[in-house]
Amino acid sequence: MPIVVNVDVMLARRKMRLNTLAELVGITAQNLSVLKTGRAKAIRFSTLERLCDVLECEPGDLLAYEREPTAVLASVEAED
Amino acid sequence: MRPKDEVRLAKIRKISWVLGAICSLFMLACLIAFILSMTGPIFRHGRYWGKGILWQGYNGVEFKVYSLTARERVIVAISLVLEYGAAFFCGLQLFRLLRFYSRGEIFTADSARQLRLWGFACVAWGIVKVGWFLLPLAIADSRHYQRVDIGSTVFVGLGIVALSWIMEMAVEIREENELTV
Repeated sequence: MPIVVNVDVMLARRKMRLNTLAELVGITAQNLSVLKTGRAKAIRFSTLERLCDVLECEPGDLLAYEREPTAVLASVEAED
Repeated sequence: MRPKDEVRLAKIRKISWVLGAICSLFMLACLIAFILSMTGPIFRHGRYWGKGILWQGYNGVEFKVYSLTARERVIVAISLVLEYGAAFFCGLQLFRLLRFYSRGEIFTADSARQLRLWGFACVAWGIVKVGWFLLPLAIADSRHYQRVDIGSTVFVGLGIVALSWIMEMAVEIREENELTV
């Protein structure tokens, strides 16, 4: 999936454990694991807000967009 | 899961278990009825064999049992196998579906597929009922002795199949909801 979730990077920076973060954010560790491993299909704004609040960061620190190689090739072909 | 939903799920599981038990009794009743039919006067020579004009009725169709030919008895035997077999099969599919529900597996791909199977089983049973209704056309000494419901099972089955498609969509929505953090 092009959207990459960098929760583990922020966890390492804040030296926090997954279970602790889950407890502070108010979601289950299983749900947070789903987010961390990139299996999540969507994230609620309320969850994102709480994550940013607990990890003291911006949404851009947690979410990144990595365009897939096939998508890059298609856009280059379209420009030609 | 919210506490209200957990209570509701527990109720569904309990009711599904009870209905599953009733389903088991239905299947057992089908089996017993089949055995009684196959060992009844149509196929067994009793002490009054060849005497009188005994009419024996099964599922809305009566037979003049002592005057049936061998070919007609074979037709009735096959029809009884199909009739009770289809009913048993329908009960079995419902039992399997209720077993999913009793385990709390309501919106899953397997339960949606099982719901569709039950629908097709109902359609098959309805078609077999139509065949049973037409039996007097193939057998000389037979008649209808009560009104036979021939169409509703087919339509109910088709409705259940349509419901299974909706359940499959619900499964996709549930999976997407579960993966929403």
